[in-house]
Amino acid sequence: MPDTVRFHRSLYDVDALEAAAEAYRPLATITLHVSEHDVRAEIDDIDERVVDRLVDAFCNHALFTTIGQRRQVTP
Amino acid sequence: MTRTVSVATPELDLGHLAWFRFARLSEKVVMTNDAGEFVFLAPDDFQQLVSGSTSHLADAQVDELTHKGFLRKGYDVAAVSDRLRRKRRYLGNGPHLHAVITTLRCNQSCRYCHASRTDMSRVDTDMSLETAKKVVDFAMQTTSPYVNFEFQGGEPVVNFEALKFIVEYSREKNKYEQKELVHSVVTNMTWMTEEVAEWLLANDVLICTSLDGPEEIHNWNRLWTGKSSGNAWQSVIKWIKYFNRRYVEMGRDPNLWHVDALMTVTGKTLAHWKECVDLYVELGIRSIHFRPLNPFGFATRTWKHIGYDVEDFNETYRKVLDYVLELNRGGTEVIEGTAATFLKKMLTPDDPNFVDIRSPVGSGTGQIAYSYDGTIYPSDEGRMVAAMGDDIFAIGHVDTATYDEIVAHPTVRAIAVASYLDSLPGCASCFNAPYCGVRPLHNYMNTGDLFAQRPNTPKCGEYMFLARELFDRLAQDTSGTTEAIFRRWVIERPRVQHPDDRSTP
Amino acid sequence: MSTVDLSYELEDRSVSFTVSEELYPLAAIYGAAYLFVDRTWVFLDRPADKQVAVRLRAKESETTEEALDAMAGEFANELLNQVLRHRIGESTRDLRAYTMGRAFAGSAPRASIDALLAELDAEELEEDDLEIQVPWESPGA
Repeated sequence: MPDTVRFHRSLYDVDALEAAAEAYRPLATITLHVSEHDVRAEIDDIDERVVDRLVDAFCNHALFTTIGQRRQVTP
Repeated sequence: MTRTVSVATPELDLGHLAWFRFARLSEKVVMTNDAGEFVFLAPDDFQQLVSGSTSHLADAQVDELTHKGFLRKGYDVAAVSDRLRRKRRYLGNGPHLHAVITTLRCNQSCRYCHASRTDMSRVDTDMSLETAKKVVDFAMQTTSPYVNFEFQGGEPVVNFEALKFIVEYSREKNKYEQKELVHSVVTNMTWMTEEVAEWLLANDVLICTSLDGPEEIHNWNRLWTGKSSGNAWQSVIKWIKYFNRRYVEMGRDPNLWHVDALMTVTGKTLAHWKECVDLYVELGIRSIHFRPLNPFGFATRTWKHIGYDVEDFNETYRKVLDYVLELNRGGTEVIEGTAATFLKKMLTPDDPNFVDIRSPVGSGTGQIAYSYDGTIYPSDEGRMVAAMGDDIFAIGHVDTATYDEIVAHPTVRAIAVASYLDSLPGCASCFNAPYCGVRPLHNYMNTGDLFAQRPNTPKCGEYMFLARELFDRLAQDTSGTTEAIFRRWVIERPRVQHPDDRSTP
Repeated sequence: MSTVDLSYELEDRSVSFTVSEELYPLAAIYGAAYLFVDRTWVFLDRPADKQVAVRLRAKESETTEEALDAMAGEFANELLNQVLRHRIGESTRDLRAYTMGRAFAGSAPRASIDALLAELDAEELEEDDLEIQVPWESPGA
């Protein structure tokens, strides 16, 4: 049964989630379902070595990437 | 379970303030700004300041805040922008540091080596004179008025022919180019001879070596194997003394002319830090660079034997800094090198332009590295990554690349973007931004990402700790003794140069 | 000086805040959350319009209530620090831009002689009116 995490699109960018999913591809199968207000991530086949923390790490990675992308350079 | 945390917060009224960053130190609040200025305020004074008031401050404090550009009233745009421009003047110059790997051959096999050394039989890893000429032709196109050719390896003096050629040819070219020209060599001293030493002395090539501490630590860290093996530590000590004696005999000021030494801290060092400092002092080495391991080369494989957490490093560093300050108070002139780099940014109007600690980092914009085969990298770290089998940072070759292509290379731009502090989350609002620097290649080695999650990175941990230590000491320095010591650390006097190394006034 | 009370839920290994964006701009929430990614797992959600839920979960499996309370206190303090940082940035945006612009509007760096000669060579080669570059063997030569 996959873990499911729902990310609000006002707080997480779709391409940040895609980048995070790609980064964690060697360790899990992450499928993103994008709708108008949120992105549902299904996380399955997690490598048993990281099963206790992969979902959390994926969320951190997506948040970190979103914040970096949204950072406005002060003119 | 629901709980509540109460946080004291001022009513913010910021209209009278110019831009600043801030951090809460152990006793004071430090405010910093883009020009690198800083002030200390008691926490209550800071709270009132951001609530719109300066009436609670002494006149001298208001004057300081005004003069340093923290208040809008009396804000001198011309003066602040002049200071800012001076701080960042390296932005207008091309690469000044040109690291030339004359050979990969080395007779040592240091446990943390990230230079992809080869055995002494591998003459195929010597830089040819043809490549050496192209390196000089390329490097001296830089728009920087100052050029430093730094010879690295392997052990660079093993290919002494290429080293000599570069020194002589660059001097010849400089009659035309009129740069401030410097040559330096980073040598392990195990291949040094009197003939080589005398040539280096006569040609003002600055000497830098590695000295990891007392004999047992140094020799354990820096293995010397093979037919020519000997006691590496004894060799380093012998040649440090030789060069330093010869500088005096040549009439040079020993405060300016002496062998510089770098210490690479392994786990073994942490327990013997005091003996390491004492050895440097005993040898008359005035600058101690208590440097942590880099995540390149052999160190990645030997980390569990030689590595440590950044917290452990920082705790030992604090002791080193305390001890070095104690020695200074007792009259011994010795500095800690990384602290001095930060202090130059904090206490002087200039930036020392240390390529590894600036915004953006100097890879490709402040330094370029040339491998023995003519491959060009934005830094020696890029070369180290390539030595580990990943050539992602190779940006050209002296045979085919133009200067403009190299300095504008997409890889150089990516590294600059990943290290421009004003654009990076966390860094942009960090009090340490005027003094700090990000190491994208370290991030890449540790995480596979040039940007990484910076609060997580060892370098952030190291530099944040150092800046807090320095500011805490300055903030608590009621007698001014510590500041006086720190200000001596940031004095730089130019060395008298070889006549062909000076640009004509 | 006033005091702000921030409520949080303390659960297994985690503390959760729900804050109003009207008091705490998203940039400030991001700024505080960013600084906690090294020691906690951070998750943001939107329970209602203009409301942001922040959950911090300790990375260690064994965490005491005291440690979680301390983490909550640190986050609350950092959130307020970030509000100040955000506000000073907004307040001084134009002044800073003007100062930066004045500092860095300067002349182009001097090119070295080799680069200038290379430019001249390239310009001359572009104007090949006499077709010197065209090999004799080419049709029409």
